[in-house]
Amino acid sequence: MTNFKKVFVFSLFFMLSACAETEPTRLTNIEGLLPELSFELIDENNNEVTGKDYLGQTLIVFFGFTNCAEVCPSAMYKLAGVLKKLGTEAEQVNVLFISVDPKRDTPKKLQRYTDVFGPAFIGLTAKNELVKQMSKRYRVTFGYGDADDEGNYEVSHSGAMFIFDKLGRARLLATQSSSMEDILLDLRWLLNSKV
Amino acid sequence: MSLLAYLIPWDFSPLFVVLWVLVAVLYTRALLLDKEAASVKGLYWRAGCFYVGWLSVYIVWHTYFDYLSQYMFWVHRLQHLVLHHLAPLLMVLGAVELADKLVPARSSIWLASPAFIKRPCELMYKFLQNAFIAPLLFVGLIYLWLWPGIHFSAMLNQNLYYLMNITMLLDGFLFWWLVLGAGWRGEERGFKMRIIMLAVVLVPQQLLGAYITLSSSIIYDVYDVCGRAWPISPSADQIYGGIVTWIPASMMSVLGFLLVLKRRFNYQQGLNV
Repeated sequence: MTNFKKVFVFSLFFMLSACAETEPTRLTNIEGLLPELSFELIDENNNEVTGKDYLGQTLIVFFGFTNCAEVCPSAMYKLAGVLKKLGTEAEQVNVLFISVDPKRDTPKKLQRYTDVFGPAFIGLTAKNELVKQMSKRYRVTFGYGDADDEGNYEVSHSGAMFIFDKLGRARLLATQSSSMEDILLDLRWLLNSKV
Repeated sequence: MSLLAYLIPWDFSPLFVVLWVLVAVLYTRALLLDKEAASVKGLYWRAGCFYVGWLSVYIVWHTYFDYLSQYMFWVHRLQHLVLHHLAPLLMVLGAVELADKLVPARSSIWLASPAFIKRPCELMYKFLQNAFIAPLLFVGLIYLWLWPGIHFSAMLNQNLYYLMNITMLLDGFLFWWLVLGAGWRGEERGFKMRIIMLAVVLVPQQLLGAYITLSSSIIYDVYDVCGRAWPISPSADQIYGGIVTWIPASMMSVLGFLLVLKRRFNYQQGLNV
């Protein structure tokens, strides 16, 4: 009996230790959990773009929509603040704001929206199905509430910021509750670490 | 959405379809071909149990339900209620009398296989079907996959997600087979142990369910990270999920009690005759 228990405890410990973080990051380390960056979307200038077009830059990917009243603006302002504090290093970073509401978010509207936060911010959109495919790859989803009399509707979406390294590998995950300091610290660490 | 859209799998898995159809084929074959099967008491009732269990696994694993399970905590809890409790219980109940006939030529192939394959499998099975290990594993797996850090990784990584569901389903079969299956160390001695095992798994599940339901903070933030299938407040999602972990899961133990008691009653009646 004791042997059985030992084996069980050992295997449990082994399984738990496999989930331990490998890097001393403050944000959630997602290395190996998500696939590499890959998508086919439309940018603010109505050009077709793929994930490969952005390799070489450290990327922060966010799924949102421009009519969002709370989650998206607060996340974008937080990231704008982080990039400001990064100084010259910020040139190596882009924020990809991927619209989960392509019906309302035209490329032009996205451009007006991202311009508010700075040149590092890029708006991307596509037909609903393509955005769904892209988001499925990163295990995120979105859904629409019922429209009111004026045609406005609520959109449930991910509040996460996925951070990819220059080679397009998913490395870190920041959430709405992540502080600006933590994002800054880990982003700086990622920019200076060998990829 | 049309009905067809609800039936289309979120992640199509040919392997799952093949294996799951094979399970149904083997069971149906045992039902149809075996002449003795016709004499099994309450055969239609048992077959109904098996097919309902079989179908419910298919629905939660390979339809739109799977999508909802990945993006809504309470639907995920419902999925595990089916995979770990309801479906294995029903399928075991439906197959318990036919177990020996389920796999064609089971004994001859098994006996002919070399010892280096047979022995580790037998030892593993013996270990997993140990009366102390099985309840520990049953509850341990629920706690393991609901451990916030592990749950986070499992919902974010597709392979881990499937590993989670596979372990839950397999463990469900192992546990309910031990509780409701044929003769655990004989009817006489097995009875007490079956009741104890059901009692042992009941309380920790209730504690966990109550903890999740009554927690004032959000324990599973992965659903905020990944987004939810439709707009719902995170606390409502967590409360519903906690209730599913708490009440229906413990009711399954009560159902288990009733089934074991009924079996005991039938056994004693048989002795008295």
